Amino acid sequence: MTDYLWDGKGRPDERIAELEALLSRFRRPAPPAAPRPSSVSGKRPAARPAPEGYEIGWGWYVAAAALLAIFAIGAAVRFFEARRAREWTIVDARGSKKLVRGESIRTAPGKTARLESAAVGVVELAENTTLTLLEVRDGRTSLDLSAGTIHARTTSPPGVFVVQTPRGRAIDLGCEYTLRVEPGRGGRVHVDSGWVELSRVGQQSLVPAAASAVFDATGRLTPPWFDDAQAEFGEAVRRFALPPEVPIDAVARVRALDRILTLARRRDGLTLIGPDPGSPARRPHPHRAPGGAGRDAGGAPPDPRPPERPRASAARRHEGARRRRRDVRPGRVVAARPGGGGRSAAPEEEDRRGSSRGLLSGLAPAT
Amino acid sequence: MVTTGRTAAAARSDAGLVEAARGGDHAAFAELHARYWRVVRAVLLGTLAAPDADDALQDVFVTALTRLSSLRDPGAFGGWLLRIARNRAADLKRRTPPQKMRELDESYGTAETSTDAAEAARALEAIRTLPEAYRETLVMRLVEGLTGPEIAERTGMTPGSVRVNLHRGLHLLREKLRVSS
Repeated sequence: MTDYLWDGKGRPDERIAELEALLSRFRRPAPPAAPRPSSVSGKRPAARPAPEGYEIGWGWYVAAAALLAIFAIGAAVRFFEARRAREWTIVDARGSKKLVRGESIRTAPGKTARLESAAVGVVELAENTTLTLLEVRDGRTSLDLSAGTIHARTTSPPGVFVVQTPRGRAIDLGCEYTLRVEPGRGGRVHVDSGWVELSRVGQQSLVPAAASAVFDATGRLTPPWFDDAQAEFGEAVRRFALPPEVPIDAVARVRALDRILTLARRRDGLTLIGPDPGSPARRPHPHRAPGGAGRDAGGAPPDPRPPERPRASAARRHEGARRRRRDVRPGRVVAARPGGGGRSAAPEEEDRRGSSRGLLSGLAPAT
Repeated sequence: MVTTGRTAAAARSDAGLVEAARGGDHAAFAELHARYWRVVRAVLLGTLAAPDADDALQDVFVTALTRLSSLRDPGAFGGWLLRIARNRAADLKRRTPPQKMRELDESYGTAETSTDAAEAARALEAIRTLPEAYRETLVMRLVEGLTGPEIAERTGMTPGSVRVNLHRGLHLLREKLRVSS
């Protein structure tokens, strides 16, 4: 079948032929001359370069270079802004100055100072305070407080702001707190909001808001106790966890424990058994030294012996401990008895086994 | 010089001509020009007034000659050239006021009556309102006088597509002309 529109053969369709005749006026009478290479050399083409898929023109290279330059500038700005945010600035009565890594600041008697960092927050220094900037990097800012008192208000994520002391370190978990270090005597942390982890090797004390914990000159830690607890309760905790006598006066410690258990409220369960009884962190590692805050008050060295299999006497002790913990509730007081046969182990023995933060957590058997 | 049949065939293909033109063979580029100038002009004429299309026709080939070394697939010369032409037409159309186009079309014819010239301009304007595929194919067939198989060969479209474009385009064109008359 012939199709005039398709190949121009066959009988012409009148209307198509008419259109052809009409539109042929736009036909070019003679073909144009092809351009010669010599006539176009060095001449800028008038038409746009061919589309993508056929060639890559200079425009694409320029666009790619511009894009790369924008990214590079953006990355540089971001880098320098982040670095500036991590910088610490000293602000005092004389003005402000940048504190560089390794540099120390010491406040004179009667003078205070203030450290600011956009990435971390604000640290206020009381009089007679010596603070050194140890480390500033992404994800960690470390200061060394060798003496004096600081008050920190942080806005950084938990774990970023760390203050080293001669006997341990305070890790900010997103909070506001005060830390005091007295050379040769230990120190104290008081938390206003959030949490602070007070730790040294093998020991840890998680201090919540409205609570305090202390450490002594040897680095021993107490568990936290709340501000609204009786003063005698705090003293007993300190006396039990940080016994001053050498060798340890076991009778005095048990007497302190007796006072603790007598004065403890339900809220003070934090002091007795730690903030998170189910946490694996509270469980002793079989090959590691017992390390609970307060429970490790003796600072015993790591025990290299493998864990013992539970024996009948240990099972009895476990049962006794379980009963005692059940009994620690308001209105019911159970006094621990020194050398109480199968019911209670001596404090020294508990020290070897204890690994958690609470005072009584060491009474649980090792698992 | 002895030329094998295969070499001669390759030389007649677009790819062979492009390779030769890249090597500075003007005759090869002239052959490509002769092969494609009608379809390029048809693409331009589908958008631009005739004088503008003739100017742009030369620009397109100058561009092609300048950029020939950057063409990655020499066998795709036809499609590459038509894309250059479409880009050029779009560029010029943006810069040219639409009213001017009709005046130039009407004055393009020389030995015809003014009525025929007006009719031709009206028909070409009606074609320009069609979708691109129909528009270009109809201009190639009705203005440049190419046959369907030639259009398919130059543009890379399948013969079936060209046939469909021609018939549907003509159908739409008749409707438009009937409405406008």
